[in-house]
Amino acid sequence: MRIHPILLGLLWAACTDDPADPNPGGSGELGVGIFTYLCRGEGDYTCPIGQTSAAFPRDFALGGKFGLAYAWKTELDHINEPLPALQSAAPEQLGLSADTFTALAVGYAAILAATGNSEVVDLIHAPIRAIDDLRLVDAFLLPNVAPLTDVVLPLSGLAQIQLVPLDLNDVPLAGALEVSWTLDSDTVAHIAAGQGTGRVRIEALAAGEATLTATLGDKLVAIPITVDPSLDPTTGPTDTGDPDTIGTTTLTTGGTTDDTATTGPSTTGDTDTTATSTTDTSGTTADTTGGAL
Amino acid sequence: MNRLIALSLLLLAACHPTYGHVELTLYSSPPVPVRVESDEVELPVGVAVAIDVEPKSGNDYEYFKDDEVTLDTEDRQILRVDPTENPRRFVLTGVKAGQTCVVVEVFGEREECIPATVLAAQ
Repeated sequence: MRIHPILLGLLWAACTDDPADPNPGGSGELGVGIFTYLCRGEGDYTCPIGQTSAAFPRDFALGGKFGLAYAWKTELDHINEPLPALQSAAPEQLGLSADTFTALAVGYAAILAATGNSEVVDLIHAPIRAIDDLRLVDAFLLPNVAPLTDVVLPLSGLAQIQLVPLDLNDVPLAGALEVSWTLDSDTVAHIAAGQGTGRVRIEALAAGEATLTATLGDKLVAIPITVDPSLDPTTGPTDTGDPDTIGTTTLTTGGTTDDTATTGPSTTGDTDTTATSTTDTSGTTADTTGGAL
Repeated sequence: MNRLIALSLLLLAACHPTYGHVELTLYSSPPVPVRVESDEVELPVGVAVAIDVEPKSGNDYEYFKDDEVTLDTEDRQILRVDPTENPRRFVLTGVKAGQTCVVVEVFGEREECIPATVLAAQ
């Protein structure tokens, strides 16, 4: 039986769109344009290494910062028309300062695309979720967010570790957050870059073991780092894909390569059985935003 | 002569529609349920919805498609009402939890104010 290519395309679209995502691909709800997500600074898992933009995410982290861009779907319909300005429709839900949005309250936050004469041409909703859990992943494998279980480095080896905030259903949440990173041994390895962001670069210094801990608000997640001088720094088992990487890094994940952020809730990894993820109950604050509020 | 003019004006006025109510129809699909009806509007904070507006006459003479209709809000701190490129389409947005109303104007005349409730974020 021969299937018409258009029918095949429709079937493909129906099968790939996430039914839980109201705006697959960032399509405006009035059908006029496309909203594109822009990462603010380093450390937002939504933008893999070397990228500054991504498709409109499914969910946003409370306290997360991000930017947005808008483009007409059909340029021919808008020749010589300036692009509309983006604004938050409910500033108590979603703040906007300069060109950076900040998710301020859990719920939905409409973003309006409006012309100079205040006519709304399009809109989109950003679902803002509370951060329920944290996960550490290999930044080189993004958008795959399979949880890391441990990191093994040769001497002088480098690894890039990404923090991914998750909601109650383990759905990754978008937005740049202020993350504090600590290593319990500064002789085994050190944080070479990324302190204060969601993504750090770890450099191995000497043989031994250390624990890397990421803290976001009242939540923290930790992972063991092992520096093994016996690992061959040039012919090790894992290619990190980073031309700047010195030596070889072995990062063990608890999931498969299908565990990407775009597929919604993780089905391949369990953070409770991999990296250490705990909630500090000693504090009285309910701020899970990393201090962004 | 004056009587003739007065009679003509009366007949002309009688042929115009008189405002009955306004029909509000959802144009966009909000992520959560909202209530947008002729006599009530209810939506949560942060949710925006595009609606189409059609005035309905209270007599036998219906409005024309290009008859001017505008919606506005009594309290922009609670509910935003924004126009779109389509003169009969507006975007309502819940800004802050509270109650206000949506002002309906036809030919620049205020006809009614539909009660509107903005619910706390969901």
